[in-house]
Amino acid sequence: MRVSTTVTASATQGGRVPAREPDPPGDRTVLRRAGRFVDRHFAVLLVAPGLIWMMVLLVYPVALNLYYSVTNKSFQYPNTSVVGFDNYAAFLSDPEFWRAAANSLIWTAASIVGQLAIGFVAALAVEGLARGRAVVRLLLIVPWMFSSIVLAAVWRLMLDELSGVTNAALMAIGIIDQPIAFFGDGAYALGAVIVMNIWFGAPFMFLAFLAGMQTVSQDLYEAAVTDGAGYWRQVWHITLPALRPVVGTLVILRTIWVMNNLDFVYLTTGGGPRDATMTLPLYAFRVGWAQFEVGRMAAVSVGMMIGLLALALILFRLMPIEGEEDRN
Amino acid sequence: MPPIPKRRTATSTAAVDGFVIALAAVSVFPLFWMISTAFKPFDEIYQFPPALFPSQVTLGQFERLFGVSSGFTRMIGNSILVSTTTTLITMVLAAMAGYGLAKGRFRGRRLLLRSTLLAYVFPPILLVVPLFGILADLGYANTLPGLIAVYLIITFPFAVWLLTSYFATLPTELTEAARIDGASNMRAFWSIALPLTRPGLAAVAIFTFINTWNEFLFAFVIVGGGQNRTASVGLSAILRGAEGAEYGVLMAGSLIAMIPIIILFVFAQKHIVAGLTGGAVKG
Repeated sequence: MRVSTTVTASATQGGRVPAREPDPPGDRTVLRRAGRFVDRHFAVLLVAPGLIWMMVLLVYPVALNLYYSVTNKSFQYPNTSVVGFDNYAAFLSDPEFWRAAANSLIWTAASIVGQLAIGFVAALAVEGLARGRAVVRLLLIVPWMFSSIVLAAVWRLMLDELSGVTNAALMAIGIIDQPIAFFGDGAYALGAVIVMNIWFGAPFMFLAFLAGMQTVSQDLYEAAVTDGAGYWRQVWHITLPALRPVVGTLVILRTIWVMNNLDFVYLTTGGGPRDATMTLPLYAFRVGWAQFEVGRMAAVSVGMMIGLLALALILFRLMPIEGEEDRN
Repeated sequence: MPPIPKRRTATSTAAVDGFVIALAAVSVFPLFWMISTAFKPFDEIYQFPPALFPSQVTLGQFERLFGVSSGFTRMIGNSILVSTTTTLITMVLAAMAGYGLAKGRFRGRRLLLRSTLLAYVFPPILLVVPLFGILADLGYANTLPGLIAVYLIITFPFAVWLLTSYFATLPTELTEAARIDGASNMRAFWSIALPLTRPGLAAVAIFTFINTWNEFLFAFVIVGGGQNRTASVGLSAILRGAEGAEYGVLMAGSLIAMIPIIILFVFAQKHIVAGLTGGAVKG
């Protein structure tokens, strides 16, 4: 009883709204009672449908994965039995897994650092433009329009060994003598996908930095100029510190996104040549979807999930996050 | 997104201008290259070194793309159906949830808001294979309703996050005044809060549409075979073709698939920029 009254009181929107007049006695039609019920629990009822749907889509697969990960479930065999931690042992002793883990770290770290660096320099440069900033901003976020499939298609065309425009350009200015198969040569493949990912992701960083720079008070810069501080000192002591909260949120979101991204690598190199670009999501995908070993794939993805949660927690600790409180 | 305020330094050197022009060129070149290649005659696509512009503009690649057996028209139709339906459902559910989370006073509200974003921590690959299993059990594998039902996992968290921050900026007095005047909560939500949140709703609609339109992995796993493929999945089949990618057809298809995005990009840039930075910077 006590519980229900608390919920009712706190669920009433606003909380401080004076209680409505009770309905006249005798008026007890179902419709009115339903209407009153909806009105009292309005906020909870609004939140419930979307959230329940989400929970079904999230909790069920995660729970199922946890279960599959200790079974020998396979798309090829009808029978499934519990095998304990064999799947975990299997992938932990697979050198290919460790190769994929190392590649994932390089892929994520290099992509994020590259995106941050280019995004920051671009934002600084655009901020310093005398005119045409709106047009430039539009041009610089063009990569964001690309879907993973279109991105991979265009980059494979541009980096093609036999007809690629990149090879033609590099040969014309004398950097290389022979065309390079950027996505097909193990020495270049990972670097090529990372460059593509930096091209794609830098606009996010650029926009966030640009927006962040505009929140910095002009007075600070004027004071710095009065004190005789040069441009780069201003950047170092005023601009960069002001951007730290923006960077924190962005780095966490983008790190998780890049780490989880399967499309870019799958559609450009397919993980090859000879696993040179094999990343963890692709490894899990290959085990589960191509080799039908659902149990082993579940174990890999549970491992990935734990790693990502740990990474997210560490990043949340390290990075100054913009206060959510003042937004809610 | 506020208009860009006055610049800080009065001098923009030639070096900065040159650098920005170079950046813009790198940024735009792949789009240009896609368009140029899509209109090239077949043999020009594979010549080395390639020509920047087609010697003559041809529609041959588009004719082959929409050839009788390709099914590309149907795939575009599937993409339109899936994206618009997902966008509508996401908008309704996220507007409700966002308002409830921003203005409701129930316990665990903030925790719920944060945990919606947690959805993005889970690797999609971890989610999609079991979800395919459920859909298969229910008889919805390889169907568009199945794909739409599952897409909510991609679209809903971001939409809720953005809309909650929009609703939170509405002064509570507005809805409280309506309540004192005797309006129901439903009325306060529908007639007062929603109309005031139009920019947020627009940003969410645009983002949801683009994200589902461009989505590849879920569509690949859930409707990967058969006639319910979306345009992304169809293009990936051309890209990973047995005899290597047919770049001409691929660029023509890429261009077609990108047209809705380009239109939105040109006409709704304001909302897109607001949505892109909304996740990281206060709107």
